[in-house]
Amino acid sequence: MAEKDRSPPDKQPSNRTLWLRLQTLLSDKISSLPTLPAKMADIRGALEEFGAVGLVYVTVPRADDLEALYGWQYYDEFMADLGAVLAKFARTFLKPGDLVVARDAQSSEFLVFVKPSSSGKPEEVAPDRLETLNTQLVNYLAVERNAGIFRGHKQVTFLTATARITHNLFSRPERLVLAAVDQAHRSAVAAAETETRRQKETLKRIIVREEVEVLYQPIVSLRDFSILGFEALSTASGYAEIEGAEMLFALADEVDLSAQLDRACRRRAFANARRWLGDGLLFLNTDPRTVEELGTQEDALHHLFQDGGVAPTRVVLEITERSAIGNPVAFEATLNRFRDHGVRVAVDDTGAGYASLNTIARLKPDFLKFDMALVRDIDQDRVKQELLATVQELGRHVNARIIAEGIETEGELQTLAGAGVDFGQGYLLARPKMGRDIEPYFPREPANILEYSRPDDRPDERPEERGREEKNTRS
Amino acid sequence: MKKRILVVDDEESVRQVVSFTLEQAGYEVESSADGDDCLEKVYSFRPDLILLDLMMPLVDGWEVLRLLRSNPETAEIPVVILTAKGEIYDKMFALQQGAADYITKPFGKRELLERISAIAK
Repeated sequence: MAEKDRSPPDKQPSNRTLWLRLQTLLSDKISSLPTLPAKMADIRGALEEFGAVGLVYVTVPRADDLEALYGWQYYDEFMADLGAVLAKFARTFLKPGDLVVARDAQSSEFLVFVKPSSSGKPEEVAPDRLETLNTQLVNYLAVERNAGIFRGHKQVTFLTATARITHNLFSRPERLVLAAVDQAHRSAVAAAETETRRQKETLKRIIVREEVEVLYQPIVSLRDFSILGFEALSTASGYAEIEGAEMLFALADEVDLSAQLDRACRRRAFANARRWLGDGLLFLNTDPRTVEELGTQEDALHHLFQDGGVAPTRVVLEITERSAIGNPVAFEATLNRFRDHGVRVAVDDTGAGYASLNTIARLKPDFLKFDMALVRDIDQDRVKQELLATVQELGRHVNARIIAEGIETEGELQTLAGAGVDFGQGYLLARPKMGRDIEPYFPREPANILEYSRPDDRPDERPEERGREEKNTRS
Repeated sequence: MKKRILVVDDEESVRQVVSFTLEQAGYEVESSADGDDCLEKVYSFRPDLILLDLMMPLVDGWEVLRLLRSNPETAEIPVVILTAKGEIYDKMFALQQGAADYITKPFGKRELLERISAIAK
């Protein structure tokens, strides 16, 4: 072993390092906005000069869910979009001297500080302008959201609140500012809680009545486009409070009803698929807690399949590690009991950074699902190609086949197929379908339920695809 | 003009061997024994490429990578991670954090030079 250079124990990082560290705290690199601490001196100055400052507070409720569900890259991109929208809002609606800041580096809370207009008494002018600004901000965010910014995330909601900060001689201005931010935060949270309570009631009703709708998205071989199976995707329709599947599952997670919701979805998925599944595989998203809960029961397999009609050998449990596994040993034991009966296992969202190599190796999955975020534009992204190669290496190591999720463009498909990826799934190949739309075709004519056919097979039917291809080859 | 490479590793033997190899191959080389010194040299030496060890005292390679990336002045300098850790997860994480490539110790002279010449074009 070579001798190491030991730094003396009392050595401090140099000024350069400290300065670089400080910079990362004074500016939120994700939203490109300054942080509150960096601008505190300006706000204090305004407070002392004008006697009052208005605050519009804006945040994304359950922002951490975005990261938990889609990964930190998605979260970062989302917050970058939000930062850009807020900067644009500031240019349009704010006056010189007003400020938009992030509460802290990496924060999901943003603050708009507005000075009272210099003419007139500030106490009379500010509240009115604050409410107007608040409404303008809410509308502005909604317009941008519907225009497809925020990674096209249409369900996202924003919470806003206003507060006024009035200078007084007995308190430090900085503490007044922090107290106002806290107060705005609390009133925004209180508003959100009322909304969440309503959503929870709805969720319980959905579970009890099994009011979930299951769609089936084909998973196909990238070599010959034969169908391997279907991923069951559940949504709840008919309730305005719960928009979309993401929200449904995030909510269930929050109120600890994931296992119950999983069960309702499983029952619905089986009830329909057993008529036509044949030799196909049925991929079921399964919360690790569902497995853990089943493990505590005497006859876990019976519970898993009591709603029957689909043989265990046709079922693939898609495990995501986005919610943590409480007891890995019991979890694996239960999983192995299922596998003894022919149940297969897939690791969802591989490459998104949730499951470590060790965890994946221990689970010995039959399939690795390569994360959708990494498939996006993989044909133009060397790092994503590099990650794919890494996941493929891992697949070979643990003897698992790769399924690429969320394929949307010809370029992505060519790159993935060219890299030797076994299976794929995505809008380009086939959209999720109702069971009754699959039934007439499957298993007899798998190709019929695919939207995709190779461009050289049908050269005239996909002008927009051809157009894009030509562009690619030219550049 | 000679390309400049900054070699950052807390093991002196690694610094010597790598520096020697790179100098033989026609690069101008400086080295740092820790992340703190590296950040200083990034500004004085202005390297075209940084070879960065991950496990170092005081300021580790992850933080160096993060600080370089978050600063517009240094965000474009390619960083090649040089480490004994062979975990796939580390490799993925390094690439996601903006590293240009990843070399696992022990590595051969040829591998080192090929990877570097591919990036320091």
